[in-house]
Amino acid sequence: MNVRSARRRPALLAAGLAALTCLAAACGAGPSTEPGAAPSIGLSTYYTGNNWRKEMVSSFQSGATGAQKAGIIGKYSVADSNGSVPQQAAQIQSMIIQGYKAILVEAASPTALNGSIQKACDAGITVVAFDSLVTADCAYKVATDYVKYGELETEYVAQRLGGKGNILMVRGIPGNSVDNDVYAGVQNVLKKYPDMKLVSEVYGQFTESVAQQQVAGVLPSLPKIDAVLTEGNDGGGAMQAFRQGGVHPLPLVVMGNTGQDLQIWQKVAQQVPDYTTMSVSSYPSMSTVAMWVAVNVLAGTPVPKLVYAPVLTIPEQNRDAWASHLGYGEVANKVLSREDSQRFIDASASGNPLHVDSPLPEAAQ
Amino acid sequence: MTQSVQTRPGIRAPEPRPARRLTGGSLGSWFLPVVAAVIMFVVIFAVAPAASSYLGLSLLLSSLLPLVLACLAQMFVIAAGDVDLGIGSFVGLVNVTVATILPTHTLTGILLLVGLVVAYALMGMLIAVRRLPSIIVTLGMSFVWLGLAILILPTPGGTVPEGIVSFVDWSPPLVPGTIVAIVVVTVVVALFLNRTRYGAVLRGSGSNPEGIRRAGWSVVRTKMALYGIAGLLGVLSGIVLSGQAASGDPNIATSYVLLSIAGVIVGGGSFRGGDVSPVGTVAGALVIGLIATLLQFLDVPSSYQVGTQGLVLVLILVLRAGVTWWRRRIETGGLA
Repeated sequence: MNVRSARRRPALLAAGLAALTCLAAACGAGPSTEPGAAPSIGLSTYYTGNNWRKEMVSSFQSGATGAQKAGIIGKYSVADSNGSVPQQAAQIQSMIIQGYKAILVEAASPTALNGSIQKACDAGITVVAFDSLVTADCAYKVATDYVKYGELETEYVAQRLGGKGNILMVRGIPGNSVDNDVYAGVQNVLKKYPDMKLVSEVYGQFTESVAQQQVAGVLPSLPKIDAVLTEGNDGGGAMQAFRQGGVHPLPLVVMGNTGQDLQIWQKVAQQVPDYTTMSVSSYPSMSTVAMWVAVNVLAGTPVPKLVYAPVLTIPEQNRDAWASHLGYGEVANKVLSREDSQRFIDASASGNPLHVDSPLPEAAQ
Repeated sequence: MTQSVQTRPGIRAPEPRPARRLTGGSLGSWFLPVVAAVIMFVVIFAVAPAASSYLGLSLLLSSLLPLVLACLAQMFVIAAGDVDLGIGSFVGLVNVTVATILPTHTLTGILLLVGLVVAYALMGMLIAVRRLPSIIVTLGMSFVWLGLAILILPTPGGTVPEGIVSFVDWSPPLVPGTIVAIVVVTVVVALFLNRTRYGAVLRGSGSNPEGIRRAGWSVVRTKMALYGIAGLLGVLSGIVLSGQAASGDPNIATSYVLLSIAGVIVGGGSFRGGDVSPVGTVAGALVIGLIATLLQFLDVPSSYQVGTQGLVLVLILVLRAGVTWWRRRIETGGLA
């Protein structure tokens, strides 16, 4: 090997790493957790950039603050991995080091975090996956039944249309599991009503502005549309496309629980007095349900491995209360209490889970 | 395995000294990233003493090993004066192959992985022969890798062979396996690139291809070698990542594209070509991987974590620019 320079990079590196490991050995101490102290809970998410996620994080924080004051839990924290799967795995492993007793996970991948989650379970940590789940067996799961979501809205539309009419569906993101499930639910119900036809599908990416563009794009090519099925955070945009396209009468658009959706719904109802619809989306406060599941597991109370959180629906009579409560970009939510969570846990344990909840906004109660 | 590449040069005896400039100056470009990485470790150990235990260190570092390998892969492409925008989905494709094909059809799986390395070398050849911009070729190929991965495994799943999982989980006494792996990989790559004749030729082909050509080496072949090594490291990264995840997901490593480029640049490399440092790159990868962990240990609110990560990176680059300026001033001052 011809060696020219007298560089000692590898030697230096080895020395540096040796120093590091010595340092490690010298101050190596076990996780500092006093027995009997209130358990600490960490929440690991991979994205906090939309309104649903912001609402999810803030409901966890307000639920956790309350629980902390009551002495039920100790320290809590939230970490965001900015869309990266390996980063979220690292995040979970760091939480193991930090000595959290429970880790709540909104997973960036259904499978790729399994290794890290298994490490957490092996370390005696309670792991609760919620909303976007993981397949690891050792994790508890808090889920929205999105198949039921699709069935619920399609059943409502079928009732309203008398089982007959043309349907446009605004779907989420291709390949997304929520989209697959909602779509499966829609198909389940449509099979029962042969006169209801799904004439077109667009992808609105769970985003009002995208939904509006996509619907506006297909509008000229469509026959008369009687109803629009949606998947959340897209109903208002879809409705805007119909209004701007001068379509008359406006179709029945299932709304998706954002302030924008409700305000547009109100506006349409002022112009067309007999216009009614419903609004539905998943509960951002699933994070607090996950927290209470973790608290129960840590306390030794039996909890089923899979707990269903209901969808939050806004029927006609709650419309104005929510519309005045929510800002334009906000998502309907209620911080679910320990009692609420216990109801969901018990219902799931009995094999008859709750799938629909229609609360009023907290201020209005 | 990288050593085998070394047998490639012919018997012609050129003077492969093109990278002299690299080793000039009192401190290598690896110095700053190494200091940054050490500071990060010290702060993490101070805030969370449990991180310095055997278990803590392996938890802290194990998830960084695939990133380190991906950064080294990116380093070889950047050494060629190119940028690889496909490494993320390439690692994802390896992960999917390991999780679905390897368990049932072992031989096919191994052949496919070897084929992927060859494909990378051919990609290098294409870029060199046709003088195509690497950004476009690798970006295009990233969709090919991702498309293949989705074809093999449409929704996340599969099971990684137990052997790979336990191999990646290897826990020797005293020092965590990950540290051993990082040290071995760094030493092998650094020795190869800095101490062998062919390593010098490879670096030279990025910074001064004309010189290399005049010295009688084939620039197409050196580029193929650089990309081939990148592919090999990418495959290793994917295998380690698979062992850790224990299952497959085509999108598992999409974030590696930007992280690996950032790792190489923070690690003292530059887009000029030929100007890279293996030790610095490994340190850069650790810095990039540890920033988020550090912020988490410091209890930075989640809404500030992403932005702060970016700020720390920019800060390191500003420091680096400052150091370069200072060094140049000293050098010119010395001459005067």
